[in-house]
Amino acid sequence: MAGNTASWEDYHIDLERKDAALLWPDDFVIRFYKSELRKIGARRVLEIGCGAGRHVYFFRLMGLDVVGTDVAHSAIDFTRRRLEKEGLVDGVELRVADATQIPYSDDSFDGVLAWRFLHVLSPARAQECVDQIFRLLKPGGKVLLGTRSPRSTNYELIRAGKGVDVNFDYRSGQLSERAVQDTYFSRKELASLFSRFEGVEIEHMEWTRNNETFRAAYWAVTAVKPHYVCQCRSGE
Amino acid sequence: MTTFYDQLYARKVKLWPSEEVVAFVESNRSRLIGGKVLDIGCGAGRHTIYMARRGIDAYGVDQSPVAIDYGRRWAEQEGLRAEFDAKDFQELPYPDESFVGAVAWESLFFGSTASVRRGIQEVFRVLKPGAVFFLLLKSKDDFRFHCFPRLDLHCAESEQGIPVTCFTREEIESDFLRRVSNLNIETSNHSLENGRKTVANFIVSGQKKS
Repeated sequence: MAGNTASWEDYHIDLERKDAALLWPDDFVIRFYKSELRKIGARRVLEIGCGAGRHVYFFRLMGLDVVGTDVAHSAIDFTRRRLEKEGLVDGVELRVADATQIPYSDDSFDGVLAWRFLHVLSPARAQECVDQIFRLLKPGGKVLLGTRSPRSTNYELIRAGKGVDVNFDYRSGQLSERAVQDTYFSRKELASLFSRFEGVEIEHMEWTRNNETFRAAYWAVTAVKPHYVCQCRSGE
Repeated sequence: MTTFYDQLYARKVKLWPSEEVVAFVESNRSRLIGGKVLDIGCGAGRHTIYMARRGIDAYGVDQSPVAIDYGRRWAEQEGLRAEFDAKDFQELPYPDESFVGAVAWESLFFGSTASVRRGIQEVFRVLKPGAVFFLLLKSKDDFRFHCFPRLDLHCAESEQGIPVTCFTREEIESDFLRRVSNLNIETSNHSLENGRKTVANFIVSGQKKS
């Protein structure tokens, strides 16, 4: 895992050389805020894997208290500098933390965002991360999680034995597709990761680049932590 | 009479720009700063305002006077210079070859086959030779094309009775290739309702031939 962390460090150092104006929130995350978080009157949210902080920034602008975590120091530094520049540091906590070890107590957050990083974890660590989200959410709290789908070009390349496309870069400073260690879940496998949640909805999104020669494809899972948890599941 | 669009924008929601449009604007910014840029079907003006903030001479056009009013007030509040005009995209109120760039995001598919084709003609009329464009067109893979009554081969009557005109990739190529250099057609799809429906778009970009 140490190698992975090192490459994410480089990634955010690269990014800081580019224009921060490009770090715009994802359309799907904006929709999650408007149709889910705002609806439940969310006040405190967590973003795991906040990267360069585009959603920490967005949530803070929307008036929420925000905790952002990332495995890379450079990501947290970048996010902090950006928030300072915008005068938005109050009400934001930033921490370096592994996605499966978030140092906050149970039932702490109204919403959790884990956007497009789950695929860099092994299947076992991905389950740990989802269990962590369950623990951290208040009952009735909502999660939005994004992870790569098998329709990604990267998946086809890996299956064809061509390895990951390490040199691929979006135009204009968007997140690079620097593949690290990819895990691809089917819809069914993803639903099973979220079996303790209710209201699980799984959407798929994909878009192409370079005249349809490259396809990025992701699942987006929204789910709710139930108010009452049955303690006798294992006997089902 | 208030239209569907008037009601929509009467809710006064300040919309965030789409990250796709932001990426287009940023990657072409040096070129766009040299002249006027048109936002077709600008609605409340989220992309017009974004471009104005980034120092671009931005023009927004939309058929809804309520949306246009909203955009004007928004620009005024932010102390930005941006022009807004309440006009249908079938008759853009600008002389030929006025713009160095044009964006049409989630707009240039609302209408009959004839009116969308006319709208695309209008885009090319008002662009200068060499100008860049970034248009979202609706794909025939979209659920609206399959779930709603067809008005003709290309058009379905969607929610609120609004016609939606759809394309295949080949249809876009045959229409655009003769007047465009560096034609780029990308798909951008996402599902709704737990995977039951698919929203399917083409993002078409390139440069008007000189």
